[in-house]
This record gives sequence, structure tokens and C-alpha cells, in this order.
Amino acid sequence: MTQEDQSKNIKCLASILHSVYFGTLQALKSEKEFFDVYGVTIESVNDTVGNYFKQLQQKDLKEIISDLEKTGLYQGLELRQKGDNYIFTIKKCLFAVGEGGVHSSIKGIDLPCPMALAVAATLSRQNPGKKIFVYPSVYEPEGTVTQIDLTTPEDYKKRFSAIKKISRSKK
Amino acid sequence: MRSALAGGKTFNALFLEALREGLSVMLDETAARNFLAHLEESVSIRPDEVVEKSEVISRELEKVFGVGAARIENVVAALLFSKVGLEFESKGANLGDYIQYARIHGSIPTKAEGPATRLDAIDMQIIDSLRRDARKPVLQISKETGVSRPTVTNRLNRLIDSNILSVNACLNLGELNFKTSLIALEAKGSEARQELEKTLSICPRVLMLLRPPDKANMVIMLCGEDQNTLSSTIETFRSIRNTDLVYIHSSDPPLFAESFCLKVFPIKGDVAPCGKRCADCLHFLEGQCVGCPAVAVYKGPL
Repeated sequence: MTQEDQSKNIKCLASILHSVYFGTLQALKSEKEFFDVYGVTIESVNDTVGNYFKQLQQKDLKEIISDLEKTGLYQGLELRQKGDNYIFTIKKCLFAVGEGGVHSSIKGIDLPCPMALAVAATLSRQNPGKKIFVYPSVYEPEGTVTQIDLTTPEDYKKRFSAIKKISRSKK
Repeated sequence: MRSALAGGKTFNALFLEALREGLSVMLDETAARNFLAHLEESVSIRPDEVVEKSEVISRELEKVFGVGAARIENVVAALLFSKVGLEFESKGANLGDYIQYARIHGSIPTKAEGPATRLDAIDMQIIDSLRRDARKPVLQISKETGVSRPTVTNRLNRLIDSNILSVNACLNLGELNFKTSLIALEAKGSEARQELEKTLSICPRVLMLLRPPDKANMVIMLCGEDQNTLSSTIETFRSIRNTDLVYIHSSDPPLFAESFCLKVFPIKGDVAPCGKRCADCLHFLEGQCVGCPAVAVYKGPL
């Protein structure tokens, strides 16, 4: 596959992910409650979302991030690592702004950004012994900030059940 | 912590409000409710101790929202500052430091001082317009009062948010042929009174609850589909422990006000809100009571 084809594919995948995210998960959020849908979202990182990026198996995160930036959809992509914690920042996302932009219609903190899910899926693939825990994203007018933690399966289980428990807390 | 002021709020209550509003602004209301319930159920933070346990709250925010926790804390701090009359400037401090600053330098507004509690001529024009027909749209209120639409909307929101004005659906008891009773109870001790208040506040037949500082420390206005049903309801109050029935005055529907916000139950269950099962009650089985409007076997008009 040529570099150009790959860039096209990434652009297409990014669009699909945004459609899935904003079309399905946000709609689901209006039916169910935030923590219920958040649970569904982070669960999918370790299963479904990874499949979208299977074709990039040979690439490391730096290359993927660089490829994403080359699509012209994103500017200022950055993945900062501190031990097992990562902060993924998108300074400017084409899907966020303008007439068709969606960030103005969603809350300041919301379900994880679909690109963060994709990065998380890649992290998951590159760390087979570990599990990925993605936090809700901070939505800025033009971009997003998302924390992604690499964790042990036991710790992941604990964190995931904590989210499930919060979703059941209804006073 | 500052103590509660007469008619006002404690610093803790203002912080709790700021926390709830901050979570609602940054997430949504259900997420805010879930998170606050989680604090109470899983981390054992009662609503009256949120200020003293703000460090634990910060930790929980970080556990759940990661890097987003700092944003939530900033919004909560800004809301708290505005509630105690301070200008907020984000200095990258933690929530605990902001709380400390707000507690020392801020002032807790008393109820009488708040702008929402003072009704001016415009507020009263809007209320008078709604009093005649609560269904009218803002545009019509604006035309009638000569006040712009945004102002009407803002005033209405302010009055409703501050619980001064409520726009509710009320039912006319006379048209429904309901009977009413005024009864006085003596709850012996604060525990009994709290239990009684809890029971009465969920009963669909209670229209009004007063707490006079007399021997009969609870006066209730009740309604019922007929006199037998009403008497049967009153009988159940006799079984509430540490509570005596002091007097009962029965009447036809009130001459005025005619309409009341009755609790109605479009979906009915097996058990009444008070926990009783009408299907097992002798009064109901013998036809002396039409049952509670909340249960499926109810035989009345609601």
C-alpha cells in the first residue's frame, strides 16, 4: 500500500470512527446515562476499536500519529508519556470546528474522543500483557485532551467495575 | 466552617451546590447525580461533609476523570467563588486551596440579601400574567407586560431556579368531588417528628403540612375521594409510633384555594409510597376505602 493510499485510509477510518462515535454513542447517551455509555466505550477499546487499525500493525505510535497529522484532519497531535500514563492531545481537529463541527454541541468532559480510542487501541496492541483504561476526554472548542493509562488486567477489572458501580449509583 | 445563617445556607451547602452545578456543566445532570451518589455510597461522604472531605473528592474526581478532574475542579471553584461574592482567577491551585480561600475571604449571602428573593414590579407583572394563565408562552407574557422576551425568560428562570415561583398542574378538588380534612398530630420527640414528616411527605393524600410550635406540632390538610376513604387514611396515622392524633376537622372541598398539586401516578404499582399494600388492607377489601392512587387496585378517579 502506498503512503498516499494509507493516508486516504486513515482519513476514511477517522471519519468512520467519528460517525460511529457521534452517531451511535452520543445518541445512546441521550437514552442511557453517561457512565453506562462510558462503560461501553472503554470496553470497546480492548475489543472492537482495535480492529479499525489492524492494517497499521507494523507501525509504531509515532508513525501513526504522524500519518494522522498528514491527513490534514488534525493539527498539533501529541502523546506525552509518564510511566504507564499517557496524555493524548489534539490541538485542532477538523471535526471539532466550523459549521459541521461537533465540539460546541457536546459537554466540556464527555465520552473519550474517537481518535484517542484509536491511539489507545494501538497502545493496547503494542502492550499485549496490559489493559488500556481510557478516561473521558476534555473537549476544547478546537481539540481534545485525553488521559490513557496502561494497566494490569486486575487493576483494569477493578477500575472498570468502579465505573459500573458509579453508573448504578442513582440517588 | 461558618455556621448556618438564619434563612441562609452553610458554606458546605454552597460548596455542594457548586460541585453539583460544576459536574452538570462539565458533564450532564445524570452524571453529576451518579457521581454524587457514588461519593455517598462508595466513599461514605455525606452531603453535609463535602467541604471537610474535599481532598477525598479531588482524589475521586481524578480516579474517574483523569486529566479532566482539574477542569472540573476549576469550574467548581469558580462557581463557589461566585456564590460567596468573589472574583475567580484560575491560578492552577488545587480545589482544597480554593475552598480555603473562599472560606476566609468570601461571605455567605443570607436569604434576604439575595437578588432573587426581592421581587420588583417587573417580577410581579410577570407573575400576575402567569397567575391568570400559566400556559401562556413567553411571547404573550412579553406582550402583556411590555417587557422584552429575553428579560421575561431570564426573570422566569431566576424565579423558578430560586424556588420562589413554581408553575405546576393543579387539580380542582371541588370538581373531583373530593373531601378534605384538617388534622393535628403530636409527634413526641424529634425522631418521631422526622419519621412522621417522611411518611407524610410521600403520601398522595397530603395537600399541606404545617409545623406549629404547639403541643400539636404537625397540622396536615388531607384530601380523599370520599369521607370513608379519608377516615380510613386518618386511621392509619394512629398506628404511627410516638404520635397522637390531637384533632380532626372534616370538610367539603375548600372554598378557596380550589386547586392543589395532587401527586398522580400514571403508572401504578402494587405498593403505596408509604409501603402499605392496599390489596391486603381490610378497609380496602371491605369497600371502605378506594385505595391509594399509586396502586393498581385503586378504585378512584385519579
